[in-house]
This record gives sequence, C-alpha cells and structure tokens, in this order.
Amino acid sequence: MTVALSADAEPAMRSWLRAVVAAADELCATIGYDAVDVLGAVDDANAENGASLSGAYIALVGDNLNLQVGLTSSAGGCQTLAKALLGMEPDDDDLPESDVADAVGEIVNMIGGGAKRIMSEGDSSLKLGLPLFINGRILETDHLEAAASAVRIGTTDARLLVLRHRV
Amino acid sequence: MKILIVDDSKAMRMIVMRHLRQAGYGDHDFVEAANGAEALTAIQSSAPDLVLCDWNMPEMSGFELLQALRADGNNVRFGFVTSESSADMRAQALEAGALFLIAKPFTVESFEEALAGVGV
Repeated sequence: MTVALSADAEPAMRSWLRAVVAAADELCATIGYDAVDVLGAVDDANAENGASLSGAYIALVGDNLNLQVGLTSSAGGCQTLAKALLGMEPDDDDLPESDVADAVGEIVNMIGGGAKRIMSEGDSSLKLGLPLFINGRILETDHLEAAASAVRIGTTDARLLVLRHRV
Repeated sequence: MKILIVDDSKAMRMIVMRHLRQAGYGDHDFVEAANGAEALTAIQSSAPDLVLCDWNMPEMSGFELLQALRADGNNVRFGFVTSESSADMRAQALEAGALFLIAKPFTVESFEEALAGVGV
C-alpha cells in the first residue's frame, strides 16, 4: 500500500520536509555525525519490500496545521541512532528496546522542534507534542498525504517523513 | 552545588549530564526528575541550586513547573533545555522567571555560556 507520493506533494509539504531535513542536519553535530546525506525523495512512506519500519513520530499542531514529523529506519538502524545519541559506539552492546524508543523519540523531538523553529516564526499557535515510537506500517487513508526523503545519517539509512491529514 | 535535571527522556537527562561534565561541572551533584510534578517534589525535598528543565513533558510541563515555583515564592535559579526555541517561547520563558533557554540540539559551549551568564 502506498501512502502519498513525495513527487506529488504540494509546496507546503515539500517546504516542511526541507525544514525537517535541515533540522536533522543541525542535530548531526550533537550525535557526532557529519551532515545528513539526502538520498532523494521516496514514493512511499513505507519500505518498498513491505517490511515494518521502526521509528518515532511527533505531532505539530496549530490553528491551521496538523502534521506528524517522523523518522523511520530498520530496528538495527534505530539501535545505531540511539547509541550515537548516547555517545556509544555502534559495536557496543545493544540497548534495551525501551531505551531505543526513548532515544529515537528524543531525536524526533529535536527534529520536530527545529523544523517548527525554521517554519513557524510568527505562528504562535503551533505546538509540539510528545514523541511516540512505533514499529509497523503506515496505513493509507483518503485524507492522508505524505512527503518523505530517504536519508543516510552517519551509516544509518533512514526516512524522514511529514504526514498531514487533508482538511 | 546541586543541579536538578528535568526531562521525560532518560536519554536526554544522560546527555545533559554528560555535557555538564564536559563543561566543567562534573564536581556538582546531579539530581534527576522525569516531569514537572516529580521535579516539584524533588525541589521541595532536596532544594537544588539550579534547575535545568525540558519544556514539553507529560503530567506537568516545564513552564507549568516554573509558574508553580514562582507562585509559591520559590526563586530557585531555573533554565530551560528544550527543543523549542522560538522567539515567542524565549520571551515567555524569561517573563515567567527563567534565566536562560538552551535549545536542543546543544553543544558543551551552550552550557558553558548559559551557566556562566548567570554566575553558576
């Protein structure tokens, strides 16, 4: 099942996705990586092979906006990102799932906050929610649209997502 | 000196403590709380000298915590460490009695500058 097409995403969604990528880029210095390597827009917010992706999402809600900002990767990719945030090496013992969820949620929290700062000066109605870690696939609805970029953060392949309900 | 670190993310509390150590504050005592309500209890029981607090948290936000402290006449030194750093929020934080706002993602220098700026 395909959830929206980045190529078809309207300008506002593309702007938000660029802001999300820029915010992820700012985060890289904190977790010891160079800039985010943007591999390109992807046509499906989900993995092509039908696999479940792990990741975290955070809501950005205002008077005129209702978005979810997300970061997804494989389970191993989430482990690597969580270890990087905590200053650990990729070969260190794996973290418990709860710590991965907490750390990846915090990464998305920072990306969401950065994107909000980039996009919303002057819009005091915009509020950032609390992150939620999910393992699974995004299911299509008639009202859901998405913009997604495949990126590499350090050595980890991931997707940065902006999801919105059409109103 | 006792520093209370308030964040609902355990990972972020660890990162803040690591940055404080790297900024030269490793000799101080660190106390942790996972939300504003826990922090309120910790402040009443352990009287920290400085509170470093996230903004968005479940149960009680950092802003609500700051308002509760000031309404109770508690003037503990208080700074936000938050992923939200718009001009509006900075103004709101300072007006409510915060001394500074450190934006996530941060650097060791962010802590050095903010804490030195308030005489810590």
